[in-house]
Amino acid sequence: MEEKPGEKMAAEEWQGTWRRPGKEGDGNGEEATRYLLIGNVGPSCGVSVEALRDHLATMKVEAVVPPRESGKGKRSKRSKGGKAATYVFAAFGSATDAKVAKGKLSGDGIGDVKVMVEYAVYCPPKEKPKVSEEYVRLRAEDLGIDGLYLLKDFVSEEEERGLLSGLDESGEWKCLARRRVKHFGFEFDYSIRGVHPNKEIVAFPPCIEPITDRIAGVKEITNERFDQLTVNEYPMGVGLSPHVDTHSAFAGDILSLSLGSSAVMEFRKGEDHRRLFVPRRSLLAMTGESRLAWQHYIPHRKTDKVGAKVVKRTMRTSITFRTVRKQGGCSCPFPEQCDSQGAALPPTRMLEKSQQQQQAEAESMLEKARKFPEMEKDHVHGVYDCIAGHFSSTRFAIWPEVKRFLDGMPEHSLVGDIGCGNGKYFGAAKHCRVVGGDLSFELVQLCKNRGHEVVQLDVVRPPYRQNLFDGVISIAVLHHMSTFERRLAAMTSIVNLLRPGGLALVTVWAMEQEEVKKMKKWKKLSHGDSREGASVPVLGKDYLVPWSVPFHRPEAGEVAKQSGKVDEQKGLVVFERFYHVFERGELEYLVNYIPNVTVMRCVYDRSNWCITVRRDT
Amino acid sequence: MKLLTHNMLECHIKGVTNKYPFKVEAEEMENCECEFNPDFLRRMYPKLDWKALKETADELKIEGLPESVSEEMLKGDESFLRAFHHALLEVEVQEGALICPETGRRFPITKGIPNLLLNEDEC
Repeated sequence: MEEKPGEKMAAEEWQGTWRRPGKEGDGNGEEATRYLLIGNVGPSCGVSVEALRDHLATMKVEAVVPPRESGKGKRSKRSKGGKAATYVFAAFGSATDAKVAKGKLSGDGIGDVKVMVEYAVYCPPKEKPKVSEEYVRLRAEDLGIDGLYLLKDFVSEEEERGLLSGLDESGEWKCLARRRVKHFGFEFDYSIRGVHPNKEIVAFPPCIEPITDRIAGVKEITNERFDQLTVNEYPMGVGLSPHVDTHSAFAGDILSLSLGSSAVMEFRKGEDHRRLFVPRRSLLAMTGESRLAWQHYIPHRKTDKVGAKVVKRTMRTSITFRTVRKQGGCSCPFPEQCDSQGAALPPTRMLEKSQQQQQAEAESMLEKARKFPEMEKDHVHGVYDCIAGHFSSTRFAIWPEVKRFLDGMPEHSLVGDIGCGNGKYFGAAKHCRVVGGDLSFELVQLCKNRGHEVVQLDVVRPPYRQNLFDGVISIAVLHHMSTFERRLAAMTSIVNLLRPGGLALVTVWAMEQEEVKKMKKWKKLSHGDSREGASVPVLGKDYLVPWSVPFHRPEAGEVAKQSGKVDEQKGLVVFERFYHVFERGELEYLVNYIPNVTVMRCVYDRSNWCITVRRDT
Repeated sequence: MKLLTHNMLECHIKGVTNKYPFKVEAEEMENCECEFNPDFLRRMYPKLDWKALKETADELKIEGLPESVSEEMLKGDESFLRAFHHALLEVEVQEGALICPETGRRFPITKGIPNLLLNEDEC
């Protein structure tokens, strides 16, 4: 593939990053680009960058760029003692020029010095989105957006409490990527960004009635009746993507009542950008132009800066009031934002990536997940074989969520327990045939001794045929995988084991632990997914969690004392197990990557997140 | 390892396409009687690869399995169902190995547990 020649840039203008081709799935490393990585050059190798530049000048080179030093801000300190780089990048006008230069350099070297030459890829720096310096306003009228109103203290604190508990009692939560929603009146369909107007669902909960009465008395709000209610629960740090509510789906005004937490809402129209502090218990009314022509959104972050103050966000529940358009289209004066007048709806995140693209992305992640990271070898595999007996003696409680799942399986279902530990769930489903396995030989042997049918397996690639099981459980397993790719690979394998229509239950430790005291003994790790170049969001947290075996236990023998840490004072051998604890919404996020699967249920149960998914037919 | 498990296992070595079924090398086998449940067998039958079960049973000299199974046999042929039950659930390979049909890689069976973990270069 011949890349188009770019504009000539001086060496210091190459502010992006360099890498080898083939790493990110673009070619096999042999593919020609117009950039070269030239190794074995630099002062320590006998060829200065200047000499190289002169040498390359005859080969139509555009720029010779030394690698940037790592560690921003520590530049001077580091480079003083550090070694100078022994490679540079060179940009040519075309891949053909680069190829010619590569041939010459590999054959002849530079002077007496042999150099190493490879193709390289240049990634220009990402441009930061332009954000105007407009500061956060406290009053809607200061934003200068027509039709935007903020009614502060619209509900009292007591009403807020009543609403939150009232809403909790009615309707069913649905899990989205990072938040939960409930719908009343009509159900909102995220794939079409609208509702199916003939399909009315649950009536509004009674606690809403006084609010709708109060709304009716607000003169700025023109809708006679609101018949669609969406309750969104935003965990701390979760925001809302920029959007204009679909014109064809909803008529007139859009209202949002904020409960539990404040947030800064941002408004965007073209280059124009304004911010409003939306306090808790306030009602935001978007009418007229503010509703029709301005995108609104809430940035994903945990605090908002309002003037000189930093305001912490907590769990925010918003109640959105809308009116479903029953007939006809919208004929507003903003055709550019109006789908009734032919404007294209901006793609939803779900539709944005074509399924194929998403699948390719997932496949490349699965490839990365094949090998065991050292972290898991040292802090999962090794540990469970050492502590199996002691661990097992503490594992007998049958968790209600798991029992509920197993009880729901029809008689004689084939159930796989992937990562079965000491096999406590084999006996919990007498009406099913449960088979399974674990990585730890010691643990599967415990299962075998109890008469269960087990194999020693790797959760990332369970050795069973696909499309086979009526049900699969994987209890407290995924949190031992140390990267996003491995957690995704494990989840994908679990889903693939299911026959179409089969159900899987996966539970993991939650970041939101009930016994906070316990966590004091945990050792926080730098996040496995925050490594450079990772393309996945950093969700959840990574820890080393101690497992202590008292000296009197047989598991605390000599071998154990060598692999664990001995605490003579307390008489314990301490092993550290790796845990990635999941945050709210993270399991759903993971499942979102997998085609042909539907989330049926996702609940928090005693410091664990539990997700039930169904393989689509 | 029961033949039920064997029937569900396949070889996951990277790049292997002929991954099913594993050949069984049995050094030590055991007979573990268990409750006869025709309903379970009928539910299980559609999930099984009969050819793999039959061939493996033959190799291990477990008798009484037919080449093919008819609906009538599943419904009420007691002697068939007994033989099916025995081969699927009662015979256990205690020591031996599973052999990948393509590469010949041996996955050892120790104390009745097949070890299907892959080496790094097989992942």
